[in-house]
Formats: sequence, C-alpha cells, structure tokens
Amino acid sequence: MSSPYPEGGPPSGAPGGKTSFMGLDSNVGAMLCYLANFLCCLGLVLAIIFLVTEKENRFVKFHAVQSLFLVALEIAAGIILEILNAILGLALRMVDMSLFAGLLTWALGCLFLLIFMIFLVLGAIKAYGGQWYKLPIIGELAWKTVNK
Amino acid sequence: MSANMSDTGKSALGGLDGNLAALLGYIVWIVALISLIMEKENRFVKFHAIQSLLLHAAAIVVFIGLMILLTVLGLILAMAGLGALAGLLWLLYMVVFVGYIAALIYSAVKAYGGVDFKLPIIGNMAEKWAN
Repeated sequence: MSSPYPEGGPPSGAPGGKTSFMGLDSNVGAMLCYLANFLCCLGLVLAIIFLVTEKENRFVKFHAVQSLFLVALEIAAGIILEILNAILGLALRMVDMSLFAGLLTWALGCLFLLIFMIFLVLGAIKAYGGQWYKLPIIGELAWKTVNK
Repeated sequence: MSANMSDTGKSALGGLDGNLAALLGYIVWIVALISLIMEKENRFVKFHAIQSLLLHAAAIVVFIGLMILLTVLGLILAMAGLGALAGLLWLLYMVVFVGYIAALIYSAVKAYGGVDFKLPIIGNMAEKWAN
C-alpha cells in the first residue's frame, strides 16, 4: 500500500476522535506513549496496547512506534555504553586511575540518561501539539513502519 | 471514559487542561512538584499533585522499611537454616511494588476522568493541604 497522504508530507494536526483504549484524545494518547516511560517503562506497555488496538488512528500508531524505537535504541545504546565503560575502566585501571574510571562511568551514565529523557519529553510535547514529529533516524523508520 | 467529565479548569502549567495536568502529575512526579509550587488557583490540580507526591513519599518510606525488615528476617531465617525461604519473602516486596504502580495508574485514570478520587489515608491528608 502506498502512502495514504498526498504529496507534501503528513497532514498537520492530530486527527480528531478518541483512542479505542481508554478513550483518550489522540494527542494525549500519543503523548502518554512517551511520558509513561518515566513510570517504570509503562510507556512500552501502553505503546504496544495502542499498536494492537488502534486500527485507524495513524497518528497514535506513529507515535507509539516511534516511542518503542526510542526505548529500543536506549536499551541498545545502554548495552554498548556498559561495554565501553568496562573497557575504559580496565584501561584506566592499568594506569592506576581507577577512581577516575568510576567517575567517568558515572558521568557518562548520567549524560546518557539525560539525553534519553530529553528525547522523551521532546517527543511528548510535539505529540501533544498534534505534530507528526520525526526524531532523527528512528522517526523515518517509524514513519515507514506505520505507512506501509 | 465516563461521559460526566466535570470541568477541571486550566492548569498553571502552560495552560494544560486541569485533568491532564493531574494525570501527568501521577506519571512524572516532577510535574506534580512543579504543579504544587506554581498552582495557585486550581484546587483540583493542586489536590492531585499533593496526593501524587504523598503517594510517592509513602512508597519510598514503605520500601525502605520493607527492605530493612526483609533483610533482618532473611538473616534470622538464614541462621535457622531456612535461607531458601528468605528468597520467598522478597515476593512480598514485589507485591507491594505492583500495588504502588497500580495505585498510581488507577488514580491517574481517575484524575483524567475529572474525579476527586481520594486514596485511603493519603487522600484525606492531601485534601486538607490543598485547601
């Protein structure tokens, strides 16, 4: 199936109507896909529920997929960071700077979490504003997933 | 959601609807904290912000208490040669955690529906402070 939208990109604004799960407004549902991740990754659950239950509402689906990709990316990046930290720690310990290694690991972890949270909040704000906001890289992927 | 959604007004947070601001307060506790500081007019938002913060605070206290209790109990059981049973005790911890999350979600849903939903004990305290 080709893209359901005319040339020139996605329509502006969130579609009207309610989500079939809990009857939220579309933009509120899309926002919650991102924000609920602050509460022990409930956004994952919500996004999956939306993916299963929403038939028509592409806006909610798009943001559900994008938030899922964002979390997936975060997990992948987290694993890479852990490995990197282990290597760095070993290397620094060899030159007797293990205290510095601990600090560096902690700082990198904090920075990483902060960036992830900024993306979550950014996505949430844009979704609430009814925008088809594409995050770098994963936005395009999510767009293709929803519109194929 | 129920049809009788009462008007919850606007929140001081960027003009969000009152019920939405209350919902967000449960999901992201920082939002509740900001609501508590900034909200002057909207009693509905204020009440839910306080209730959310109290729930989080109570959960932290309970979790720390449980952790101490379970550790002590575990040590006693280990001394009695029942170390395996101690692991089972941590199931209790899980149950409490699930209950905490469930309470958060339930009150968030109620808040979005525009209901002045009061949790036991905490709800009454929150109401007193909100007024």
